[in-house]
Amino acid sequence: MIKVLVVDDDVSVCKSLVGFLEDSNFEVASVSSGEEALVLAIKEYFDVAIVDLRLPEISGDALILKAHQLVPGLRFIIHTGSVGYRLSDELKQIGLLPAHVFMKPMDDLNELVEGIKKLVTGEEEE
Amino acid sequence: MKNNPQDGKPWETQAIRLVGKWSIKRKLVLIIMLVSSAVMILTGGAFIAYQWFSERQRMEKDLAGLADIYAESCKAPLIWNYQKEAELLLSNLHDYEPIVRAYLYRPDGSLFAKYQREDYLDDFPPPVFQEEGSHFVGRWLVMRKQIILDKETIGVLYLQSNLNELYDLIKQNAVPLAVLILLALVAAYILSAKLQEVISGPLYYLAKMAGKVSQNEDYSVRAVKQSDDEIGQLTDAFNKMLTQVEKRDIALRESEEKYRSLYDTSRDAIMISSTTGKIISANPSTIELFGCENEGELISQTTADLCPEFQPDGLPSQKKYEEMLKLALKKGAHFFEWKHKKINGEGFDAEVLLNSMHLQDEKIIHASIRNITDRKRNEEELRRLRNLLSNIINSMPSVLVGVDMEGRVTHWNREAEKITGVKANEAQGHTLADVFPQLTGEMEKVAQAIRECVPLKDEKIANEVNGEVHYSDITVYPLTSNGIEGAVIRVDDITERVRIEEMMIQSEKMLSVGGLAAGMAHEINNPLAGILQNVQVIRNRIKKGLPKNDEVADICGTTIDVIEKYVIERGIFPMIDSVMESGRRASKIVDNMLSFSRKSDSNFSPHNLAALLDKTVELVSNDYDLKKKYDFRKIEILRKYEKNVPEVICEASKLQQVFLNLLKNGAQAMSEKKYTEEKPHFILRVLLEEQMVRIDIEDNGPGMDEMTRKRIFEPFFTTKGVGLGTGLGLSVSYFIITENHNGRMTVDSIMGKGTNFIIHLPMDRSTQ
Repeated sequence: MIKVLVVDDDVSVCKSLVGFLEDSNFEVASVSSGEEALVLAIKEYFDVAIVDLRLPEISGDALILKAHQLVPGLRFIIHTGSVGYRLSDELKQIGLLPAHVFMKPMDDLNELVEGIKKLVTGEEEE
Repeated sequence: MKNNPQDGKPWETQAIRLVGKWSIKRKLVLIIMLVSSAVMILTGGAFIAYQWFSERQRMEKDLAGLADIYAESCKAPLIWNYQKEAELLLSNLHDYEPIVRAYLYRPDGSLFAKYQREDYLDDFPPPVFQEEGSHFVGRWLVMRKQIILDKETIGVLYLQSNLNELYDLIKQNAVPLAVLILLALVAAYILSAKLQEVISGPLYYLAKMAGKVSQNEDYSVRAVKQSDDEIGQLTDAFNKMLTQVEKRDIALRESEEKYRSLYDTSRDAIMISSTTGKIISANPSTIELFGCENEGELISQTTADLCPEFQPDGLPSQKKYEEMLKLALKKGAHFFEWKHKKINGEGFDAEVLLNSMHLQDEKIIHASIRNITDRKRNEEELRRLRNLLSNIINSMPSVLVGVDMEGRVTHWNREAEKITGVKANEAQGHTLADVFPQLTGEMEKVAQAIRECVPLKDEKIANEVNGEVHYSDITVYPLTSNGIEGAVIRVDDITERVRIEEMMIQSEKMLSVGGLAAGMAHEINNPLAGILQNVQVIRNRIKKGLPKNDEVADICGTTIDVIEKYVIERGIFPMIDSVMESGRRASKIVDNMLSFSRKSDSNFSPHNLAALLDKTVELVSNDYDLKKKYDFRKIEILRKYEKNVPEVICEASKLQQVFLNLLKNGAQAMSEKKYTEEKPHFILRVLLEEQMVRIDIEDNGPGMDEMTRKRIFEPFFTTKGVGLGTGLGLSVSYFIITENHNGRMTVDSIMGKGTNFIIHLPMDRSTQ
């Protein structure tokens, strides 16, 4: 079973994501800040982390870079409400693609489910 | 005889002619002499004649007496036939000297006795007289006397007397008479020679004076009056005449001097020539004008020599001059402009007045020539200046209309012609109300501006031209210099500027919306995500399909089938869908608002706009929206694409979005209009204009009012019902065109007729 970590400080967004992903047969954990995410990522294994960019204290970007250092096998999906967001070069270097960026609000969460599956199976990678 | 007319004249005429040559003095003497001679001779002749006749009467009487005596004496001898006695008796006649012969005849005619004086012995046959009495025959006086006795003729006595006595008497008287006459004539001559001077003297004096006047042409002399008779009157008349002549002479001389000085000093060249072109006379100005040394040099020329070969209009001078001359001869005078030539060949412009005149039965041409080279040059300069000024005024992009105090047009520039369609010459003198009704209301301003000497301005005056609203600034400048009262009204069409201002306001509004959207997008998107995601989770969890649903339902003592049935029965799924739809629309609004922020990540490439437009039309044609109640397939598409319109560097998808938006809006608007005559249609135009590509998307829908037109691009402004439009479609289109593509987007609309969206795109946005 694919293990997913949802990082979002918006409770409503966070809980609904967890619910939907669980309904879609993922094993899901959630945290509301970067520090918690790092602690949990080190402690437990996750296939994918779904990261909101605007987080208190550590931003989503910084979290991804830090987590990548600490847990090199972890994959990331960015889920953001910031319009016009662009992947930074550092993020690109660690393998993030525009396909891994999902804009809030999504019309259909199944898109995200498909995105996670592809990311884990490595289908989208050349 | 020679054929001399003088010879043919009668002598009297010759005599009169001869005498006519004499002086009055001689004539007077002659007349007096003739008159005195005639009087003397007549008197003398009468005297002699009287003596002659009285002597003859006396002689007859004497002879008759003698005959009576001798007839009585002879009776006896006759009766008694005493011849000797008779002869003796007759011889007694010897004492009576004049009797030269006496004859006594018998009644039968035979001679009875005779007597002859000794010195008259020649044989003189006795004349036979039948008549009684005395008769003068030749140098003789003869007498026949019948001797009657008792009524019976017994004999006839003839007496013949000479006239010596008569002649002697005449001789005696005639000589002294002649001497007397001669003496009288001499006296008469002397007297007349003296006295004639009384008459001839003053005449001679007058004649001398007249001679002097005529010889010296001195009309100032006056004759001295010597008497009060006719000659005195003549003298008066002569003097009066002289006075008049002198006056006239002075006047004539003054006039002549006046005209001469006019002629000589006139700055106008005056020249007299024959009709054939021979120059007869020329004044000093003419000589100077043609650059001659003296009149002689000029006179040696002909009028043709003083003209160049051709006139400025290209006609040969000679031919044209003949025409001018013909006109002058016909009308009496002719005035025209002419190119003349100086004697050195230098040409000059002149004004010529040809007068045809008569001078001693001959037609001559009096020409006044004025050099107008300077004037021409000034005129040329003036014309050039006027053209320049008029050019400047006409080049102005503003309407410039000059008016007087009464509002009549005094000037009308080309822009005014363009705007009103009235030509300057048609507008001149008409009132503003006639030719520029829009400005009629400005007359009060004109009066005020002139009164206060300050320009007055009305800004942004709206007026409708062909259904379109145009804006103008109207400025009234008073004209107060040089006594010209009036004003210049300047009208600037600021429609374009107003539109641009409107556009800029739109852009500013949109940008601020964009900025706002960018700032709040995150804050809105998160709750939206919360809503949409939770709703989706809810939707999943109240229907069949998830193992967890079955499991939880079971724990809850029910089945998911029941739950789903309940949800369906309660109509919850459409509600959930509605929540999701609303959430998506809110998300779309935010998304649209975000497009108002400047972004530069778009991909621009050259595109053929006509093709792009066609592609969009095709796309929209398949869009059959029952909900929005329009059917694109019923709309006619009229394409008016110009050929050779260059490609435009643009973001195709964005432009397509604009076209799609416009076409959909148009279709929707047309669906709200009821068509009776025509069918709904789009006119699509692609053309090159002002170095830009212009795209028109024109519909014949219901159109819009001015208020709507002004606000149509404003964000959140919509004419559609709530929920039908976001109020951002046209704003986004506008933003795409103006901000993303550096183009312009405007809209023209006429209520009831339709709407035209006009897009101008630069061929390369980066060069604009």
